[in-house]
Amino acid sequence: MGLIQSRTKWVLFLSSSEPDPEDRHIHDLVHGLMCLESAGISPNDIFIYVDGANRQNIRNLFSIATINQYVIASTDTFFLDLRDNRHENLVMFVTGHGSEAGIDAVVPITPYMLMNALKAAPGLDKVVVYLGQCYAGVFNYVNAGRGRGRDQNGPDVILIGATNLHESLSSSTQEQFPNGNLHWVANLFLLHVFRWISAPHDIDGDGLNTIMDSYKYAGIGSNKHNKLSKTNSFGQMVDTHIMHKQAVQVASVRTGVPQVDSQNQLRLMAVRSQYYNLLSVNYVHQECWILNSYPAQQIEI
Amino acid sequence: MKFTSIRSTELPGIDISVKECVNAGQWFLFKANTSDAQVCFFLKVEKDIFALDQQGAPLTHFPLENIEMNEFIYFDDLPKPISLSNQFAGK
Repeated sequence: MGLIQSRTKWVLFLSSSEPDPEDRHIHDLVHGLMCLESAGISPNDIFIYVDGANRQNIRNLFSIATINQYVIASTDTFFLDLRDNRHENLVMFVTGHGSEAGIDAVVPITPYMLMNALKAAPGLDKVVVYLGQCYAGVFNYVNAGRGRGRDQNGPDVILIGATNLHESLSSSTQEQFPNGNLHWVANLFLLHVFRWISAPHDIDGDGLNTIMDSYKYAGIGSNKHNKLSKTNSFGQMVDTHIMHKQAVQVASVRTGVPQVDSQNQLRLMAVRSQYYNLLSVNYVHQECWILNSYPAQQIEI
Repeated sequence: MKFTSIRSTELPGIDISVKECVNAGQWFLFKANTSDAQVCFFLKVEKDIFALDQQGAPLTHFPLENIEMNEFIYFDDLPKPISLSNQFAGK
């Protein structure tokens, strides 16, 4: 029986060491929620864990995707809930920042902090974790398979990373929601994973819609867009380089009129944001990976 | 949450580079409840929020916090990103 038809907990996860996470990361999960619901997953099986002080704003943003009411808990609750697990399987989507310390959080989440918590959860049989954060490769090469690690009876864990020991790529998009189109800088890999889940299909020709298919689909989609955006951005980079120099010059002159100075500063910040985004996309390499690939070929969505 | 499209000329107080960042989804231009009658829009720039008047000009450069977004604004006559979901459809 596939994951959607069995007792599976679907987890949308965004931790942050800052008082509030970045909006673009919340939007990654807002889009994810819409895709999970459109795949026919029961709202009772979808759990949202997002850190942040402005709770009402987080709830407003998730209302873009759904008319259903969700409890949006902080991410430390995820680890507490695991101890009282009542599901057979767990599929987790992680967005936000990452570093060599692991997933960004008040206390950074290391690979073994996550792995030990998943392995110790009572009753879990299969776990799939999609990692969208930068340097997701620090979660590779850990004891993920069944019978490995501290808990010999723990679940089979499959880890899928958007990127290896590199930053992960995000790109501007607009996606259609029930009330209109939302624009944000989306995590490329996660967006394609969610897209596959909303419309699963067989990539490798084995006749099954498996987790392995989601990995291949999201990897190809991300890499195609990466090449296309680098190609298209070359001319823009040259133009924006000149605009950035001009904006620096204008903003360095204080006119004495506060509103004009504020506008000049905002313009500089806008041009700098565009310029640095183009530069960083041009230099970031992304290559996805999967750990514990054998069961991933058997687990159907 | 509402989504509204306007002409870029409706907010002459906002520089075109800022409007491009808004349409690209890098920054967010939105409406929210506020008791200040002068404030018509808010602009979220990374972690900071700026209050804007009816023309889109900044009212203050002091960042605001804990504002609840309830309407996103985009510019229908400026470039918008292509949907990543549709970009490779059918290929």
